[in-house]
Amino acid sequence: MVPDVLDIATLPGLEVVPAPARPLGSRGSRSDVADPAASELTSDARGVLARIPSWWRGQALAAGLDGRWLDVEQALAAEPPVALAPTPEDPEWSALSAEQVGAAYVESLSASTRSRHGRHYTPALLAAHLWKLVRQSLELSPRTRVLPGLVCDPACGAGALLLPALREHLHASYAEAPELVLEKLPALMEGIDADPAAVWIANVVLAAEMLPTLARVPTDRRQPLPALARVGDGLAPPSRRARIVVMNPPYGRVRLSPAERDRYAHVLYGHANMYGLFMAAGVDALDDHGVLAALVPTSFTSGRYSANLRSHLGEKAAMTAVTFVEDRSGVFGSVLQETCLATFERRKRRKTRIMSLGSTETAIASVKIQKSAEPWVLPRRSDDAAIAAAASAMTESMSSFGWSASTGPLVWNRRSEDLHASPGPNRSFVVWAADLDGGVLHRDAARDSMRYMALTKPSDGKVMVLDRPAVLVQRTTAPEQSRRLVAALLCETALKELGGRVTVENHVNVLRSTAKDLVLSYEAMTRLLATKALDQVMRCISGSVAVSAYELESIPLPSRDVVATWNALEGSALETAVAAAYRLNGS
Amino acid sequence: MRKPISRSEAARRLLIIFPRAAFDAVLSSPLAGTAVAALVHVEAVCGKDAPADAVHWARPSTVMWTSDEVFIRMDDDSRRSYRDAASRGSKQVDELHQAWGVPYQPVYKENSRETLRDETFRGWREHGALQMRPGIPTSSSAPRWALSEEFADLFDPDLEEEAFRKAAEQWRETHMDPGARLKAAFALDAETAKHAVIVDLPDGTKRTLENSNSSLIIKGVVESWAPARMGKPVVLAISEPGVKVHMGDERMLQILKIKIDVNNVLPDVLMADIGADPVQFWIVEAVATDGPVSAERKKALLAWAARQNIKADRCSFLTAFLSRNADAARRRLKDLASGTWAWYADEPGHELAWYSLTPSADDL
Repeated sequence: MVPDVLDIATLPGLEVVPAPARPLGSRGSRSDVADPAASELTSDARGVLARIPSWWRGQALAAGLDGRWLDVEQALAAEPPVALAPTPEDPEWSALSAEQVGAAYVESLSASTRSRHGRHYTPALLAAHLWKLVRQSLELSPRTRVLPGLVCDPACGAGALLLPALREHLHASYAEAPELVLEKLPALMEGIDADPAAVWIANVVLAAEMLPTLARVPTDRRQPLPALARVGDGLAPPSRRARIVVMNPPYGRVRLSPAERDRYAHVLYGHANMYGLFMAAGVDALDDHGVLAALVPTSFTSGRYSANLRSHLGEKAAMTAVTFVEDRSGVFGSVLQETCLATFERRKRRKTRIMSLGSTETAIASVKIQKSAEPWVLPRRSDDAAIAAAASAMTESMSSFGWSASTGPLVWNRRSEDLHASPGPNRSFVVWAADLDGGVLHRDAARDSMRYMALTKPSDGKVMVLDRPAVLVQRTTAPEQSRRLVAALLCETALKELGGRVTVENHVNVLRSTAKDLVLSYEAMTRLLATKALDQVMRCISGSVAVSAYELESIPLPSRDVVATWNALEGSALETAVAAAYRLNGS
Repeated sequence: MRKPISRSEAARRLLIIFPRAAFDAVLSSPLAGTAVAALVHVEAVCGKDAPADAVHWARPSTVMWTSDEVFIRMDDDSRRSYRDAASRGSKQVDELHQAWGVPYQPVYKENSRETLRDETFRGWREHGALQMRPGIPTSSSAPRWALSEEFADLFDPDLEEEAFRKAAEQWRETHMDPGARLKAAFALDAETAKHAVIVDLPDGTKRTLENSNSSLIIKGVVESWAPARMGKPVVLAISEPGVKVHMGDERMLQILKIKIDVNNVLPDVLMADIGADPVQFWIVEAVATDGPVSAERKKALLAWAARQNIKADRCSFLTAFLSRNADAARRRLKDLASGTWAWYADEPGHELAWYSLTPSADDL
C-alpha cells in the first residue's frame, strides 16, 4: 500500500545537495523537489487556494448535496496545504471549470517558481487529445469505457491530464453501485507531484467530478471522497505497475545527485533533462500491456543527449504514435520548442503513426518503428514521408563514412575585446554564419567591425583556428529561411587567401573527413548539402531550425557505391541522382 | 473519355505514390487499385475549378459492382452504360451484364464497401487525391466521390515509367505540402458553406450545419419554436447526423453543472429554458427519416440525462418533424411517448401534445 502522504526524507534519491551559491535558473537541482511549496506561494496563489472552498460549495450544491459535503475540508480526504481563510462567494469563480481552476493556480505562481521547476500548465485541448491517443493505443471502443487498469500521472500538477480519464470512467460506471465506484477509484487512478498546493488542487478538482456519484450514495453510507493525488517523487519506482501513464513532465536541465546519476546512468548522456528522466521512469512503470502518453518537446527524438533515452525507450516501449503540435494551433503561448504528443506501447507494433495537430488533426504518414539510439527520422509533412522512410532504412551516415562535425569555437561576446575590424600580425580571419548565406563563402559587410580576432591566449593557436579545408554549415537558420542546410566550402585556395587560417564562429558547424577514403570530395559534399532531398532529410530529423553537429553527422546516406557516383555530378543531374537514392521504389 | 487503366497497373502505381513504408497500406491496397481503375473507367474525375454539377460523381458501390467484364469493355459507350447502371442500382448493373450476354460476377463482396469508404477514401481525401461533393447530406446515398484531376493524371496509361515517377514525386510535393492543403481546405470550406444550413442561436451566434432535412428541422426548432415556447432559451448541444457535436455555450454548461458525454446517446438538440424556475431542459429529436421520442427512446434519454446531472422531473421532450405531410411524421406519430410534444417545421405556430388524462408514475 502506498501511504497517502509520503515522508519526504524516506524518498529514494533525494539526498541533500549542498546549497548552490547562485540562485538556480532553469537548470534547477532535483533537491528542489523537496522544497515546501507553501513557503514560496505568491499572494495570488494564496488567493486561488482561498477561493477553493466556495468553488467547491457551488459544485456540491449543484450536485444536490448539503450539510458537511458543502465543506471541502470535510468532504475530501485531503488536507489543504495552508490554513484557508474563508472568502466571500465569488460569482466569477463559481462558473470556472475544473481545468480552469487548475490553470488559475499555475498562472498564479511566480514566474521564477514556474521556470525553476519547469512547470507549465496543460491546455485542456491537449489533455483531451492525449487521452484520445491513449484510447486509440489501447483500442478502446469509441463508446465510453471504464478504466482498464491503473492510470498514473507522475507529474500531475493540478490534475489536468487525469480529468478526461476520470470523467469517462465515472460516466461509464453509472450503472454500478455508486459507493463501490468511489471506493475503487484509488486503485485506478494516481497522481503524484512535488508541489503540495498543486496536489491539493488536483485532489479537489478530481473530487468535484465525483460529486454527482456521491449524491447517488444513500446519505448514511457516504464516505469522504478519496484523494487520488499525493505529494511525492514522480521518478521513484512505483509500488505497482500502471496500465496507462500520462504526463506533461517538467522541462529543463537538472543537476542530479551522484546517487541519482547512477540510477539514471542508462538513459543519460551528458546533462540530464527532467522530461527525459520522467519518460524513462514512465515506460519502466508500465505493465505488460501498458501505454505511456506524454506531452514533451521533440528534442528527445534527435538530440545527442537523448541517445541513451532513445535506446531505452526502444527496448522497453517503442513509440507507436506521435502528434506534432503545430504553432498555429495556438495552444502554447510561450513555449519555443517544438512540442509533440508521443505514445509508447509495451505491445509489439510495426509502425509509428505520425500526425500533426493544428486546427484539426491530420495524418502525415506511418513509418517503421525506430528503436535505436540514432536520431529518429520522422517526417513533419506528408510530402517528406517517402524520403523519410527511405532515409530511415539506410545504414550508412555521414559519420560512418568518416565525416565528423564540430561546432565553431568562437563565442563572440566572450571575446569581444579581441575582435577587430582590421587585420594584424597575430589576428585570424573570422568566419561568421552570415558569410555562408547563398552557399558560397563570402564576406558579409555587416560583420566587418568584428572581422579579425586577436589570438591572445596561449591556447588560441590550437583551439581557435582552423587551418585545413572544411565544409562549413550554418548551425541555425531563421524559420523564414527556405532551407535548413546552408553550407559553403572553405577550400585550399580560399584558406590561403585568408592567411592560411581562420577562426570559425559558434553559429557554424565545421564538417571534416578523417577517413583516408573520402567517398565524397569536399566539393561534392558541399554540393550534396545544397540539394533539396538532403534538406528534406534534415527536416525529418529535427523539427527545430537548429542543425546540431550531432544531427549533421547522423544524416543517413545510401551505400558507398551510390554516394561515390555523386562526385562527378553537379546541378540538376546531382539533384535527380540524390532524389532517386532517397526514393522508395514502392516495394 | 480518359484512357482506362488496368486494376493491377493502378495498384502498382499507387504503391509508388504512397509507398507502404511511409503510408498506410489501405491507400495502396489491391482494393484501392480497383477503385482508381473504376473511377477512371466511369470518368469520376473532378478538375480544380469544375462546377460541382458538371462532374460525374461516383459511389463506393460504383467500385464494388465492377466485374471483369466491365473492365474488359473499354469503349466509351460501354463505360457510359456501366456508369448509368451503377448510378441507379445493382439490379441495373445485373441487367447490363445480361444485355452484354455474360453472367454478372462482381469483383468484390458488397461488405468491402466500408473499408473502401471509411479507410481508403478517407485517407485519399486527407491527402487531396479524392474530392467529396459538398452539400450532400451524410445519410444520403447520392454519389459524391471523384478523383482529383491531377491525381487521376498520374494514371494515364501512356505515361512512361520515368515520367510517371517524376510526376508522382511532383504530385506528392505540391499536394501534400501543408500550405497547399490548407488552401484546399479553405476552398472546400467555402464550397461547403454555400450548401450549409446556418442556425441563428438565441445568444446571437451562428452554427453551420450540414445540408440535410434534419438540419432544417433543427433550424426551425432553434429559431422559431424555442423563442415561442421558452422564457429564455439556451442551446446546450446540437448533434448532427454523423459524428459532429456542437457544444453550446461552455460557460452556461458549467453554470448549470452539466457534463455532456459526447460518446454515448445524445439527442439531436439539448436546450435549457433558463427563464423558468427551476431551469427546465428540453430534449429534442429532429425526425427527417426516423427516431422520434418513443417510450423506449424516452427511457434511454432520461437515463442519459441522469448521467449528465439532469434530473428527470426537469426534462421535457419534443419530437420535431418537417411537416404533418412528411412521410416520417405520418409513420411515426403513433410511436410518440406519453407526456411528450410534437412540432412541425412548416407550421411553427402550433404544437401537438400527447399526455395521459390520468397521469401515472410512468408519465413523469
